[in-house]
Amino acid sequence: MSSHVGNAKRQFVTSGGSGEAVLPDRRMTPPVVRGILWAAIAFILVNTLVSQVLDRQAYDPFITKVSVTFAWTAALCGWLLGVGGWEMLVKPHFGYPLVWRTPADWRRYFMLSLDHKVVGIQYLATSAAGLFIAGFAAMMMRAELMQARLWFFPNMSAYLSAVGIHGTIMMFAFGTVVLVGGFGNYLIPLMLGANGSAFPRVSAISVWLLPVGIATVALSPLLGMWTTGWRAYAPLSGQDPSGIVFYYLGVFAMTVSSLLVAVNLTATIIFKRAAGLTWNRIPMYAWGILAVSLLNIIWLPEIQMTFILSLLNNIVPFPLFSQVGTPLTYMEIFWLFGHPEVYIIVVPAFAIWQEILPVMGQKTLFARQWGVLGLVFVMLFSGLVWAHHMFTNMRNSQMLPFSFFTEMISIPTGFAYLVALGTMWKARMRPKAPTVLVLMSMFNFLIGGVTGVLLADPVINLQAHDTFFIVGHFHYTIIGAMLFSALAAVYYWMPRLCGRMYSETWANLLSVWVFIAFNAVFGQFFLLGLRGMNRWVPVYPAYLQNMNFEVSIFAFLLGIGFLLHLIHVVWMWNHGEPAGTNPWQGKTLEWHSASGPGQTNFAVAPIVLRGFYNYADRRPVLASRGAGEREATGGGATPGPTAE
Amino acid sequence: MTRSLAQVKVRQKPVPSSPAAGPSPAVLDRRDYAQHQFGLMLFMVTQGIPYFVLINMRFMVAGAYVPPHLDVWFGALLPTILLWIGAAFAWRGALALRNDRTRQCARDLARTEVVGAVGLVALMAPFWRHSFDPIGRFGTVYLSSLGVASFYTLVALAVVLGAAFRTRRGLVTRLAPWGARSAAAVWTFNAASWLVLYIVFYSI
Ligand code: HEM
Ligand SMILES: [Cu+2]
Repeated sequence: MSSHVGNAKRQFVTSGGSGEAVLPDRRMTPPVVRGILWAAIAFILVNTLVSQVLDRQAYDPFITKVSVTFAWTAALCGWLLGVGGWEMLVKPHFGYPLVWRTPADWRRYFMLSLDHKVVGIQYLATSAAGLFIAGFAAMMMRAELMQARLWFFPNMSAYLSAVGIHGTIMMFAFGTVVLVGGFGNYLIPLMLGANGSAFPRVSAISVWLLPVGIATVALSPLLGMWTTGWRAYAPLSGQDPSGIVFYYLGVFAMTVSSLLVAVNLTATIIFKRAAGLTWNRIPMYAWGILAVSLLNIIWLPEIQMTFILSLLNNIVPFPLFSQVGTPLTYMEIFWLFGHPEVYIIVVPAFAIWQEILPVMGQKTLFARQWGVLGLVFVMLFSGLVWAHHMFTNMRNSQMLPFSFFTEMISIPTGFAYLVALGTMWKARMRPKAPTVLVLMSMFNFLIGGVTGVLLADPVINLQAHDTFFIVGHFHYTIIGAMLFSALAAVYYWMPRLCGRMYSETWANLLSVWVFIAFNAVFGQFFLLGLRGMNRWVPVYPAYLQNMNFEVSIFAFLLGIGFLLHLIHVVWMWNHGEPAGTNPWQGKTLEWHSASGPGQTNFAVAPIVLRGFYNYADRRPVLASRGAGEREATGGGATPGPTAE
Repeated sequence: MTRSLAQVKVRQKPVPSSPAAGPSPAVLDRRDYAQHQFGLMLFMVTQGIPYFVLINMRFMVAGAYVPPHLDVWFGALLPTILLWIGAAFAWRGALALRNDRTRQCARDLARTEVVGAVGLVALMAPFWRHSFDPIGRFGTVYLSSLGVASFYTLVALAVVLGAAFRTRRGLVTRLAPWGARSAAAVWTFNAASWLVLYIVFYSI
């Protein structure tokens, strides 16, 4: 029995020392149940303590801004300890053996996991949940806008709260997460020929911050409405009722989650590469994740500190950003993060284009070095342009440099684009769903990018700022480019994730469906913006009504389209045709291992002989094969430790 | 049965030479050591950024203003000195491992805890007693910074406490010194961050 554990040993080396494995208990309840229990107890205890004893307030409310902040923090700790932090982090920290039972069934997804594949799927599922929760908020917004009077929401603030919840969850739980925490955690160790990430316990715990963040933001109306949207502009944020407190707390949980992923994946890319996997050879997706992780490492702590100050502003309360400091102070430090954030979202999408296109065309990636340069320079430039979000608040002379750098960013962005175009040039692209979705993503990004360049021009920006033209622009980049790429990634890697194939007909049909609906909705946003439709308004003048009504219809169709994609993927996850080990004939290393959750990726450490993107070269990329190959259909490469 | 243990990636058995069952020191090879070092360094870089924001806020909001009659000891020099004394103990302890003096290491880490706990109190004192307007230009940013520094001091205390426990249990040794060194590094990071804040709030 112990002999098998030997090869797993290397994946888990910590200062906590070794631990012991205990046979799974068949009747064990998944630790999330314990987490919920501990969180609830901690919340009630601490809230009572603060609001009834330590900090009683006039009229003696049971929940105050202050008490809820402390109670939430306690609940977060209770939750993290309950899902496994107690056994996996706290006890080993103090020198107790690490004992962690892992049943090999569905329950492994409902507890801390040291397997990067399980963590990846946990992240994917959670951020998909975020997508649909925030999408539901969007549907409610569109319902309201079908009539030129307040009918769906009880009051204006309720509508604006829905807008805020939508944007916040989309940005911090989906946009920032799905391609990094999700596909990044799952794929990066595999693509590097490693058996795990650098710090498995870090991502094991970080994923459980995400549902907390989503739930906190989604439940924020329980505390009161908030009207600032995802930007949380101060001093407005200090004037609303308490709901904004849950915005700060929820965003804190989600950003910590992404920050830990960034640290872990950066270390993984630097230290876990297989022999022969030099910097010249590492996959494009690894480059993308590296660039994004560096952005996350710099900017997430920055915005966390900003939001903590804003939170103190709210609960102490401080007069920060109004009497002390100015509203512009807040805008500066928000957008310093805010613009890099949009590249955090879109850079991995570029990398996905560059992974999928050469494989689907079986053609060498065009100008690979320029693709890498593009990703890296977009990352570097993204810190120089933030003030294009504040042109309306600046002097003319100050706009110029920001306008200039913003337009310059389209050059490295163009590299990513040209690499994709060059790869497809004269290639016989297989018309499979991943290809189709990447093409759609490129089309949408063209519109998103070009409107961005327009907006970088102060003359246009001063007219279009905070109208639906902006909303059109960023939905083209975020949904149009990133979400379509994420869908492409889902279909492309689905055989790797679950060993089964989706239905080509349905996938293509649904992709066309969402493509048409998407363009119908957001293409019209540009027109609405130009016709004078401002953002953040629940009831518009009658002259915008017809168009808004019809946009809402397409928006519902878009929502249904995404829902059908989800149903299709979930159905095929269990019922699709078995896909074989490498259905697309990809060269990157994730296709050289068929390990499922809980199984070792590479029983024999792979040795990489050449890069993955040259399709003129038909020689194998790995020196020693065989050990990592699938042994039987449905089975894994080498089963993990077995009990004999 | 094949599936049941599949995911367990912890060491099944203690290293044969270890005296009793239970955890044994994790001896990192060179690459693993470098990886841990890098990970910790990167994490500290991320945690330096909030301080950077605070420093900027201090100048954006309050310029270089220092209120008159500001206490020079509490929330100021006293915690600075105590945190650095703690750092000296922590490093002396970590380095004592080189000569196999494990108990000395555990003792020194415990000293860091004691000095640090007093330092924390000295750091937080201005929350209760201060001579400036707590919601004024200086007060808001200064008190926020004190809060952040106190939080990180608490974290550093927890890290060092764990390292002290593990050292006493024989899990941190000459061959496996990472636990003590990382704790000393975290402590030093915290002391240095506070030192910078101190200079920013008092001397510039
Ligand atoms: C060539 C690339 C791009 C350029 C030149 C560009 C330019 C701009 C400009 C000038 C604005 C400010 C408009 C205003 O509020 O007055 C803006 C807003 C925005 N852009 Fe972009 N953009 C580009 C790409 C992207 C990408 C890739 C994303 C996301 C993935 C994105 C997301 C956003 C968002 C979210 C906003 C509005 C934020 C808000 O006001 O709430 N942009 N963009
Ligand atoms: Cu921007």
